Amino acid sequence: MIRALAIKELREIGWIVAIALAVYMVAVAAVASTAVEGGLQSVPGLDWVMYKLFQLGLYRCLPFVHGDFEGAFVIISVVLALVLGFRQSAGEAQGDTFGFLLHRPLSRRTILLTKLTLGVGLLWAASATAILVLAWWAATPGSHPSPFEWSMTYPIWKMWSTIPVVYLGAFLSGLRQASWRGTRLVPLAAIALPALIASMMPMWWFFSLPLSALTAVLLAVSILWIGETRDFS
Amino acid sequence: MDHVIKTRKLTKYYGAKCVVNMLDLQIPRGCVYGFLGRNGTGKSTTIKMLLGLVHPTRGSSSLLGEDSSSLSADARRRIAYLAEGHPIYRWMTIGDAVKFTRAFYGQWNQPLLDQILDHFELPAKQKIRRLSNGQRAQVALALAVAPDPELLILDDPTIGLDTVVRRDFLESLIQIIQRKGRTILFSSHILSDVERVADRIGVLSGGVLRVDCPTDHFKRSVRKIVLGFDGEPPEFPACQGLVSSRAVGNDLELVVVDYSEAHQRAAEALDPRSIEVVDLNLEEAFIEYTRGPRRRLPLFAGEEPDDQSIGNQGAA
Repeated sequence: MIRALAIKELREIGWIVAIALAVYMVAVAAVASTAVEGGLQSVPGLDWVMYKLFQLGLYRCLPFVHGDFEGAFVIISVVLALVLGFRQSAGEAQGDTFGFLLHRPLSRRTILLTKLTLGVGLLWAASATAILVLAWWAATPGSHPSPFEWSMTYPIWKMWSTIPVVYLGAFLSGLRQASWRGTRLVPLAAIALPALIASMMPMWWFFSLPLSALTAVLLAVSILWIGETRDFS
Repeated sequence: MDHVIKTRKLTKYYGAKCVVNMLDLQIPRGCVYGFLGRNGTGKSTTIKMLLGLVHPTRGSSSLLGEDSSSLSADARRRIAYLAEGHPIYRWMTIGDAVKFTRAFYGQWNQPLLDQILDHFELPAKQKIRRLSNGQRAQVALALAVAPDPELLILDDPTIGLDTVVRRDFLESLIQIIQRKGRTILFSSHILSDVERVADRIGVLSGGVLRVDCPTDHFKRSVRKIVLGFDGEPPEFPACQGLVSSRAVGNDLELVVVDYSEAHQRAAEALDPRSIEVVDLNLEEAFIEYTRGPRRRLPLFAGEEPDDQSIGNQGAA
């Protein structure tokens, strides 16, 4: 039963994750191909592309040292988290399929947890793939124009660990009922502060990670509670 | 008697509006129950409360002996629910929908499902979004009955279907009903559909269950009495069984349940010019029973419509 539900979810959101993965790879390729002398920027006729990459902070960016790959990574990840969260919750309401789904002989908690596990799993897998591919390129001798240590990737992994909070906020916003769209987005607005604090505080293990984890747990509990108590009319 | 569906003072408010009011309903095993009411009278809300999809403001309900608010997976397995509009994932093919639904049930009557899909000429590779409303209803019905449920709850299953498809759908439903021991709750506002399949009906009006009796009894009991007067008709005194009373020109139209000697005497006491007792079919009885006070339209008030009003009607 859970397998069937997971396959359904995969088929509904798999294409979104595939598109996001392609966008991640374009960012990774842009960084990798322009980071070294004689890379993509030496190919004639690509001035406009190089200019755009420069604007995005991806031109001659030194991955994990300077440049704005992290910025591009966060933007892609946040968009992916929002789209996945809303697709899996508001998408069921829009298609009027909540009644069909929730009448299956599975507990509501199991149905929602399966959705959340798949959503977080795919979100993390796609974004981790981007980090790992770029780190693998950087770790290959002759690629990265500076000494590379895997510890240089810690900052981006810290961002990666916070992304599910955005996803859960979007899921909750799509699931909960409100009299108008503005108040429906309250959970999404509410996560901005802890996410910001978590990304700015220096003591990651002692402060940011527990704050992100606590926010994620609170959101997951709220999702399960709303799922049990709201009317699916 | 073994009641498959039970509600006790089931009440639902949306804000200040009472949608279902103190509903007491008991449906015995094997009954085909037609749940009637005009649009917006609380039929769908009641069904969703029965299935635990909507939480009642007050009262309780149970299906197959289990409280609706906490139906177990096993109970859900024994209950089929056909939601209004037949929502199925539109990106799926019929085959995908069958595969997805089958995964949740230990018991699955594949020959029956194949028979229904074959009867309606629905190929497994067809995308749900490419199906017409009627075909989607047929797929939804096939998916609902394949697990051999004890209880079928159908929320306005024929809404949006054309006459031919509706007839086909009901024929299938009748065949399914004939499988023994199956209880069906079937909401609708299409009376001819209900008349064909239901052996008991409930009429919900303004969130209140006004009628709960065998279909034939309802048809036999509701009568329209037309009292003719020479001038303005008088008020009819309130009495037991009087559903409505309204003046139509010089006539006084009464809708009465179980027309009796007492009603006859009360009518004669008003000294009418004529008394006519009209038998009603189910549809007429339902209409008379559920409609509110008739609005007087200016067009029928004896005034000549001017050109502008006709033009406006045409434009509308």
